[in-house]
Amino acid sequence: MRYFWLAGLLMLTLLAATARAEHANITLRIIRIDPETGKDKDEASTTLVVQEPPGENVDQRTQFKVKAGEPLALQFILTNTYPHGEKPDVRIRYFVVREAKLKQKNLPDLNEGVVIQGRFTLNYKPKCRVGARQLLSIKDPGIYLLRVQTENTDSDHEHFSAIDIVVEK
Amino acid sequence: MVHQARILSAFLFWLAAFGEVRADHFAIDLEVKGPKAGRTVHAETAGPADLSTLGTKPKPREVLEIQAGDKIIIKWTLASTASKDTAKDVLVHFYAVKIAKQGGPPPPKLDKDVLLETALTMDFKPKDKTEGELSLQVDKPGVYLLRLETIGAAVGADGHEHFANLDLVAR
Repeated sequence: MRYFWLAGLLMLTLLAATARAEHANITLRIIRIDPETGKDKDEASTTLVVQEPPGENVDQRTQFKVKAGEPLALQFILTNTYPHGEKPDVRIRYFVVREAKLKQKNLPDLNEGVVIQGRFTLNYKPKCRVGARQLLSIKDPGIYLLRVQTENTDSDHEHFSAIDIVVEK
Repeated sequence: MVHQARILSAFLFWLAAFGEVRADHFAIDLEVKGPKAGRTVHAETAGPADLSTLGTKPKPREVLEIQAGDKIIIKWTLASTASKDTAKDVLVHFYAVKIAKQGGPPPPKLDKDVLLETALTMDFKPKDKTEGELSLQVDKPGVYLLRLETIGAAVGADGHEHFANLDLVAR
């Protein structure tokens, strides 16, 4: 009888793990650009994909220090790894927005303090990809959040990747 | 006379066939808004059977003027207008790149002076569409080509791609 319960528990755990399996691979990079040559210098990157809910362990969020006004590039590639059919009108959104503090848990209001943002709406079929590379510079010192996220996937959770950018004088 | 009629028939057949394969399969609206003005442009076609080789030049590009340092908003919609066919694995590609002069050709490689480049892949059933909205700050004066294009929509020897583009001039 004990083994029956154990097997049931293992089965439930397996099912839960399957249900919560990653549905997206994301590679997110913030890159320092050489102002003379326009070439990439150094960067911070993450492939950590967070499900929300439950959300992020902010201590794991990558950080990158830059100077105010320094030329930067953000880059991401998001691949849909959900194998079970196409989902209509999924949104992929990315943005750089000012946040109040490093490792901020709550998402800042996207109606103010946005440096750049973009979004795509598409039919999200298995293995489809969305990517972007964009030059930017952040004029004002402070803490900023770079994040790319899925929206409207008709699921009980969404996915995102994030990097904190520390902009110094 | 019979010979002329045959030639005319052949020409009409060719025209009908050509018209069929060159029918627009995608509609594009590319809208760019600066602080003071905006422009919207629509789809043209290009591809293996490039019209320029047949004596028809691409349309002159629309121009939007802004001031260096302005932030612009780019919105695009690309929709299938096909009645029954599905275009599979179409790459929808957008870029903003500095070019030498107004009306200049797209650079052969996007490896320099690219402010923004995006791409997504999608299957397009009839009436399917994809949309994008992007903000972009243009810090330096210059002429920039903004172009949305399909890659992989051309199927067969007479297939063609679709694009919409305009020049952004930052003073």
